[in-house]
Amino acid sequence: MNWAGVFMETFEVSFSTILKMTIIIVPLLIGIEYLKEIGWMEKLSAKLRKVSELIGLPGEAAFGMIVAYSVGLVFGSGVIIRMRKEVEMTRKQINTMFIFIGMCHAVIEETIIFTAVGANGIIVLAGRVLTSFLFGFMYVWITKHTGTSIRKSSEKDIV
Amino acid sequence: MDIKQTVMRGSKGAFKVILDLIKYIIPAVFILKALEHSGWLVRIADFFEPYMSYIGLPGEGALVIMMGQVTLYSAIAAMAVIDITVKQMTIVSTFVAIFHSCILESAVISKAGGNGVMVIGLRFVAAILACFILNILIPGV
Repeated sequence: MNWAGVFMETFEVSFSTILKMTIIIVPLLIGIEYLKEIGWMEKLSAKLRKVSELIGLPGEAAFGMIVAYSVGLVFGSGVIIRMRKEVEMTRKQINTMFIFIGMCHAVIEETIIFTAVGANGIIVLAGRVLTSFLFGFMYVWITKHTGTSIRKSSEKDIV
Repeated sequence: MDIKQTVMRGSKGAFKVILDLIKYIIPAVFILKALEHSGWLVRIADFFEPYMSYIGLPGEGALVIMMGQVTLYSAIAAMAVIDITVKQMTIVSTFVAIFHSCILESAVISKAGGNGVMVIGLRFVAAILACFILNILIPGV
């Protein structure tokens, strides 16, 4: 086996990929930091409290979900953990939240990265958002209409 | 508001991401290149070819999905190595975007008080469904 070729090509591909990502990510993260500073997510989440209640989550969850959707799960989880100290949530509600944000998170960063490697970012983004809404609403609907979930969301199951 | 501090904080975050990129992209590219040169890449791809064709991907797509279970960055490294069309790139990106880092994320969800296995299982199903539909909807090869 041609190990020299393996090492050379590893170096070439890694270098160009990392360079490409670096050029995209640095300005992007500075931009996101700026958006956080001007508080756009708070403004948006105030409007989305109603939507949050529609899927059976407390209104406070809207902010955590907006953060996770746009910036990423790490920041989002931080917000959610802080929120959980103030608001009690059932296992079903936590599952609902993670189905929504699990399938679709960090859309700003990831869409741009996927576009950079050559995919059609718009299609990837639309596909993820639609899938996340489809499965999220389906889970909400199913648990609403089956007996098990009623028991599951009793006080006993609050975590 | 201090623009300088914003830039500083953003750069700090970016630096961490770049370290992560280096940490995950180099080993991933190395493994794939070693597989390619030893002929195993073709064998693995041939094995997955019949399953991957349902969502319009070549057999190599399976490797991108597997790499995606380490981190999303490893999947991106895999995409840089293998040779696929724009349509296939879009499909495999959607797949790994919906379903990635399954072990780690199911642990996080369970720790937060949810049902990790159920949520991850649902994401797997969702990824297959989304890619199946995309394969039909996107024109071309």
